[in-house]
Amino acid sequence: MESELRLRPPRHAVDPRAVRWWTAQALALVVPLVVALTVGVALLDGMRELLVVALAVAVVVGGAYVVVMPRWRYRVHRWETTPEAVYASSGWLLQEWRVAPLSRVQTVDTLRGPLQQLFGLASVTITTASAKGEVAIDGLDHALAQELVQQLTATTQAIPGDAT
Amino acid sequence: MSDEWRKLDVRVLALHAARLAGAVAPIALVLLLGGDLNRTVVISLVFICGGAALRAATDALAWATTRYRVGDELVELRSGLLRRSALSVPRDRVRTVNLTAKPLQRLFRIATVEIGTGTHEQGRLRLDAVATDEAARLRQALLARAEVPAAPAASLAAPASLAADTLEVSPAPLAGPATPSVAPGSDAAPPEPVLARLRWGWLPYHLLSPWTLALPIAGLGAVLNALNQLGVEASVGRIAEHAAVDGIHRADDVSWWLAILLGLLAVVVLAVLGAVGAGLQFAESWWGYRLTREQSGNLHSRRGLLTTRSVSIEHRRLRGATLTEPLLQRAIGGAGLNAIVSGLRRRPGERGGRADGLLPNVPRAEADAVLADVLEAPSLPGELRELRPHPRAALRRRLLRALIAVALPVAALLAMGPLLGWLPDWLWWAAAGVLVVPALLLGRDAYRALGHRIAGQYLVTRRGAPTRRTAVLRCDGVIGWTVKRSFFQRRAGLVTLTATTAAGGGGYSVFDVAEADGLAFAEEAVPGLLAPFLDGGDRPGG
Repeated sequence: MESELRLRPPRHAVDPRAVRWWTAQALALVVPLVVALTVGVALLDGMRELLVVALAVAVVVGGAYVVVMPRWRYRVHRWETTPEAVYASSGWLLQEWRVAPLSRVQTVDTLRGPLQQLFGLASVTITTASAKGEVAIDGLDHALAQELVQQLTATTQAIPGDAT
Repeated sequence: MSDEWRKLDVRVLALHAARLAGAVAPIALVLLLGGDLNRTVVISLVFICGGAALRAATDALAWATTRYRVGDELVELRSGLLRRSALSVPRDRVRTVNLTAKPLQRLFRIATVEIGTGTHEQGRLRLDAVATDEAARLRQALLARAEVPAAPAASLAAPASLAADTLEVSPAPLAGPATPSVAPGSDAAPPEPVLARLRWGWLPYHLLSPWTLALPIAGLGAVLNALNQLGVEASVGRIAEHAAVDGIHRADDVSWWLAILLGLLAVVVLAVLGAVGAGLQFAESWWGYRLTREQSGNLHSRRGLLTTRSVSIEHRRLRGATLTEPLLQRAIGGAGLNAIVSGLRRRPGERGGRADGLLPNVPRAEADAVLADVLEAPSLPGELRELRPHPRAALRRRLLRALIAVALPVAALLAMGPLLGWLPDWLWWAAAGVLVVPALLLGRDAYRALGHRIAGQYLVTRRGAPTRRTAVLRCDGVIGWTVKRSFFQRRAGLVTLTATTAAGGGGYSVFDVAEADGLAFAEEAVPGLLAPFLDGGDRPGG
């Protein structure tokens, strides 16, 4: 009997260091906001009540974001390649699964932002001829990312055409 | 095609001179009419004249240094004096050849030829001024040669921003690059089948649009602003202002029905002005429109009154079409049609309608017929009427969204009540009560728009309110899938499935479909692509 059809998770998890990387990203967003609000509470007399409320909200929501988001993402972000296609999932509240056939791949790039370099990570981006068909795998070990790029480049070069 | 280096047409220099004169003329006119020579005017004067002169000089230099050559293997372009650039495109990579002739260009019988190689902008080779007959020959030769590739001749219609362009030109006869051409090598070519041609019966459909009323209001604002800038405000703006103030002062004396009458009159005047403006715009965009299928199977569209455009859509690059039905059009049974073509994207500043436009708003039956002809699928129009509806959960999501869209602003206004003390709270509740019904109706309309199916070799997805869009996309044009699921969609068991493609907008989505249905749909459209990543039918013990 046929049971409900569903997407299975891709085979490989991303590097566990990605949790630290996402945490750092979240902190880079939340900390300046909290600092700014704290300074505001200290210096501005007139709006103090409003600012205290805003600060409390920022600390609670921001704190939850810093703790929850990276771990949630780590459970969602996965990837795999087959001889025919690349398949990756990402997101946390809004989740995405993307499939691109290797026969339609145009470019394979790695990207390492300063934060990713700090944690020895890299992102691999696989673009097709579609403006909306890009598949990105974040938080891979740097060496693994290089290897993946080489492997994908070799595979895609063996297949002619990009179906534009 | 000769194998020698050619210059651009020398008449482009005369065109630049005319443009320079045109840029200065309106300002001189305004000054003569008694505009104030204040600092703003002087500065803009310097900028406009300087800009035009600079542009003329660079254009002349570009003309003097530009050479192009169409050889057997390559199309080559060399230009620049200090920064020399050389661009060459293999002829078998040529995907698009577009001819545009703006009004001034048509006066001098030259056209802009754009030779594109597909989706990449950097592979675009642009010849600014080619004699019109030579341009038509070039298009024929390049596209006839590119049997295997060839493609969407992309957008014509460059931003002909200078108002002067239109001022100086009397509507020349429709010669220009839009001349029907005969395929080379065949002496007596059979007539090309015409898929669509302009009918003036389309005009009412074009006029029934919010723009018809918005146009004169925006135009009025722009004129007043321009007059203000030039210091003529004293004469016109003040008079209008005084009249308005005066009118308010006298309002007590005037009977109320006269006021209503005047208001109605104003609306009627605006509507008439808008209808005239929209009618002119329709004529400029669609004058002499003919959509034909050439012997090679390529679609060729020619249209335009002042600016003529000739767009070729290569058969193999045509990936589908989109039917567009705005709310007002649905009320009178109208729809518009655009092509989904790889390498043909809408560019900012494009005038006179989109390059991928196949039909303006026309009666739905005509749009259906052209859709079936263009996509060579006679059964499509019938199949579009029988789409699979989406789960009720999608309706709940849309109704909830409608309620939130009304509730949020009302809640915000209620919260600000103390600040807006002079307005009673019941006003906001009343506003919410009035707005909530249309919002819910719109939500239900959005749900009814949802639908999808496979129709032959096409996948169909429909969505949207107030404008309903039906995308018909060739399954073999799909180059990937994206499945998205938000937190709330997950709870409702829904996903949004996007077919990515090299053509058109890059992706066409099936919104809020039940997860299993969506995945089965994707697998039916492109068998084997998603299959390795699915669980379900083959679950152990299942």
